[in-house]
Amino acid sequence: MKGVAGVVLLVSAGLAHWATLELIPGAIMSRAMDMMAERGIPLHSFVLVPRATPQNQTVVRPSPDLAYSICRFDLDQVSLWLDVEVAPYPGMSSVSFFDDQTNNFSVVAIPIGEAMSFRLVSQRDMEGSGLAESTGSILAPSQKGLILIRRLAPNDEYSYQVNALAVGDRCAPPSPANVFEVAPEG
Amino acid sequence: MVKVAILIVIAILGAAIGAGSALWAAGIVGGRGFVFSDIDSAGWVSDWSIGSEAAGPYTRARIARHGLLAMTKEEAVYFTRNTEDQGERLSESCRYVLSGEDQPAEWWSITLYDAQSRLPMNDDGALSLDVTRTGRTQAWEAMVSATRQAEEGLWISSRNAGAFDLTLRLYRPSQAMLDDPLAELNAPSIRRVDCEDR
Repeated sequence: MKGVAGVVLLVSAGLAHWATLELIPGAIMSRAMDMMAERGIPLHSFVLVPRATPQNQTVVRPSPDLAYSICRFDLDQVSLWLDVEVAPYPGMSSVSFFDDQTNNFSVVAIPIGEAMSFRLVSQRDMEGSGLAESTGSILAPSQKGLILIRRLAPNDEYSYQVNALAVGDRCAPPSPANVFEVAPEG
Repeated sequence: MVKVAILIVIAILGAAIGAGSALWAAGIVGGRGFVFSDIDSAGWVSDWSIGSEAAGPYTRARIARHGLLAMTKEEAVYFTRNTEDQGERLSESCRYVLSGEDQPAEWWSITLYDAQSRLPMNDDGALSLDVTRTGRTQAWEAMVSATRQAEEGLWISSRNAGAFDLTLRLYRPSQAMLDDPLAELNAPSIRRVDCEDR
């Protein structure tokens, strides 16, 4: 009986340990995305988060140097892909893509003063579609996730510029015209 | 029947131990958990796993907890220091001279956080220092104190911070910095000038 009990204890502890570690990233990301939704960040639209100050900080160790624009995505709710456009900025900036397990599956440094466009395609759905071969396509390993644009904005002058230009950021399903361009392949 | 019940209880106990130890290892409960990757350059400490490709379940879980949405190492690296040069804890009740040189990165900054890892609740507009204010070519010095000591000069406000720390961020660090941070980082020094209660 003692031997069996010991085996049961070890196996159950080992399985629970492994399962918990595997589940932690997804659980944390799911909670983070739920909190963003509760704070008014919609699906498929960039929202510029106000520059961190002592009065408005909502996360630990916010960087007052950076301006953030966030888009939540759910590729199950778009027919083909998601168009992502980053407006030009006269300072250091980048765009990062995170899957539902917190992995940063793609990051692109944006050249100063240049706009960039991407097509976010579901890795699950891409096989045989030809979408992945399109210029600027990024494969998402999960259907849900986050897109984060970071712009260096260490003072009010930069912040004003970000506020003015971030309205040009886009995170949305393709317009009907763009869908038509691809539709004959399908 | 009794034996089966005992085994079920043991299995539940084992599952609780396994789950609890996993939460501890990930740093979610009871401290920092397994940290394999701290580096320390003259008191400036960095968890070098943050922003790296996640390798292994422990690192992945730790990053999810402590580095959610963190920038990749190619974008930024972070160092934090909570003691002055003599090893005493940084405190709002003391004045310090922070000094250093340029860093091997496209841009860098130093920001002050309180013991809860939050920006201290003050409206001094002096929570950080960055390379646009220090310049790139010469050594620099800044006062860290609860009140501004002089109109001129660099200043980081510690008002309402209590026990605090400083975080040095290097944006787009050089490849040499990524390869050998201990050799490349120009670790700023923090000299205590005086304290109110000493």
